[in-house]
Amino acid sequence: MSFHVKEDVDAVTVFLDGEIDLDRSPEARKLLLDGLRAGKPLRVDLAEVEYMDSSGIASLVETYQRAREKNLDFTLIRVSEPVLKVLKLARLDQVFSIRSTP
Amino acid sequence: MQERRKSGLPSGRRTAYFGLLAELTEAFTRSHDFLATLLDALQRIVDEMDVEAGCLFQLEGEFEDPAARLVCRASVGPVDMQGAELPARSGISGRTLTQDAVQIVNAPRSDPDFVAPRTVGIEFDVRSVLAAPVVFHGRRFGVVELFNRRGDEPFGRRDASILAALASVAALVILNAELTEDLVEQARLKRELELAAAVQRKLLPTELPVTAPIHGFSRAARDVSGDFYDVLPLRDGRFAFALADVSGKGMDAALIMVQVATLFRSFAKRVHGPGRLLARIEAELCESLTMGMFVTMVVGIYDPRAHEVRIANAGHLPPLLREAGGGFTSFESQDPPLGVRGRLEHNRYREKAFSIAGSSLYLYTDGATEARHADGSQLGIDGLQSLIAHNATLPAARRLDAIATALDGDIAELRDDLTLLVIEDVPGRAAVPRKRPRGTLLVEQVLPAQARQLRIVRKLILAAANEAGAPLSWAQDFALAVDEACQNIIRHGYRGRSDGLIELRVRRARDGLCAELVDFAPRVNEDRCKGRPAGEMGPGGLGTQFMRALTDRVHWGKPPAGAGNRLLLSKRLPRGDNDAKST
Repeated sequence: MSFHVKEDVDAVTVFLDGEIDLDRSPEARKLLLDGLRAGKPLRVDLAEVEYMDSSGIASLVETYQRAREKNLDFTLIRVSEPVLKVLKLARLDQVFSIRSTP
Repeated sequence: MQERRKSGLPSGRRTAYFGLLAELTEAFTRSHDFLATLLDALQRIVDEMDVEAGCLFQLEGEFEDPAARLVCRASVGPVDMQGAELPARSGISGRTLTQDAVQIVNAPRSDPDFVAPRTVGIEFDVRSVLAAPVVFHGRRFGVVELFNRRGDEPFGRRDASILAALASVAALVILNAELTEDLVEQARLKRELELAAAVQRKLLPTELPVTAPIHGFSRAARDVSGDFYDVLPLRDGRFAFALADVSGKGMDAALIMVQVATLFRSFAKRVHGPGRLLARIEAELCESLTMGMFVTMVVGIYDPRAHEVRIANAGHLPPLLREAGGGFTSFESQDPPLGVRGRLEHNRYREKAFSIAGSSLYLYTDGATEARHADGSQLGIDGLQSLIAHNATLPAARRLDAIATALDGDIAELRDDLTLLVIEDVPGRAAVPRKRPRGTLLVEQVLPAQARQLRIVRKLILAAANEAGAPLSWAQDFALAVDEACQNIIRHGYRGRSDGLIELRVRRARDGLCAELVDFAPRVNEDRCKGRPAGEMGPGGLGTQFMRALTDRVHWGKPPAGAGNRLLLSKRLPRGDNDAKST
């Protein structure tokens, strides 16, 4: 399992996977924040994420806030069932922009 | 910006610099937070040298490597440059490092190497630059740069030599920080070792009653052991038992042992048969075993009513069956150790079932057979058999003590961890099938308070929920709630210290499950753990929110003596729900 990043002409996509808990969320957070550096819209692909806890959610929230400061689009794409459940629990499913396609 | 102090005459200024140098050196040697110290130092350098801005760049990577970069670690002035990066060999800073000399640039616009710093929203016109290499004994650590002498007085050679002196102090700070990190690392390893020893002591099964049919003995040769044994009574009156030996010694072996113990406890009650149980443990363990490490392990089920034992053996020394008449039978392993990734038929280790009526079955680690006589010869399996025969009339628990005493002193010298396990069948003993009472303990585990343990916590909760017949989604919710509670302990209780412990117990309550978490951190103030309305932005407090949303009750109980906090999370099981079970 490993996170990775893809930079296209019009956007940067961060692919997260596996279990994002307190152990792995610092790595995810760094990748997400680094993803904003290019100054392009940021997409986070969550299709392969099997588990996410509050520390993972916090990383998404922090990136969302930074993106807004920089006036960059921030979109969650292909959100897996376990992640969606946790987003709803935090009532963030209405805050984030979520798309089902890449 | 605060009002600047009036700069004195050049000579007075120089005296002030030397004072500053002495002060900074002193501050650096006392401080443990080197970034904060550097930032503070930079602020004072900027003030004292009467400039508008200053930056400290740290070299990342080898300077010769074209990919090496300079990263701004501390920044003072109207533009926050912290985090800014540039190729290590470019610009005036690159030239400073290449030439290993202070650069005085009083007309940067006409300097071919000058690159204007990229700033967003703030006009910052660079009119003069003074840059010194942060070097110590030929090792390049980075560059310190000052911009725009106030009043546009040009930088001179005296400024250059003073900044060079300050920069060499900065190099010492960075070097010191590296050395301190090594020391911290050593201290951390020592703490981890102590922690592993503490976890292990708690992991071994508590003393069984003398009338119990299974007894164990374990002693570590050093602080921590790579040996492990466990006995779990099953709900139908049978017993699951295991004995394992992790290759190697010390910390790595100890951590693997902790994991083997955890896996055995979480799977023993729900994986059918010792062969599949071993296969399941191996599958999980393979992720953690580094190259060359392996575990030999015997797992078995003892059925007192049928007077039968069924075992599977992954590369471990042969269990010895001593029959009532005194004869021995040994059961050689036919399968490789865990972690060797040998090919298994039918995805499980081979099982062997045999009658144990009136007999005793001995499991042991190589500490027993490799103990040496005074003449240097090893005891061997024959020697162990004689010891067993010699002490045969003693009750089982005392017999193991007597054998251990003989192995370490009386007749031989113990050089390794020693673990012994005996299953003793008494003919005609009517085993009473145990009815599972309310409040039955499903999980009892001591874990280091570390983020990487959370995966194990979730597995234990999922296993317990499955055993209680909960649907998978219920189990996942409960696992997330307990995970969040552990996170709170790790982050807010122990505040990131890695040597804390968490005791986790899961009980079956009247109408659901109750997870109990005991820690040894300072007491928490319950009012501060109320959570906050969800949907509000900001990461804090979300975990507590999850805990409350996903369980029916969260409360703090009276902690046991010596403990810090005791948190109880209860969740009701759905009524008559026979949804898909978790697997």
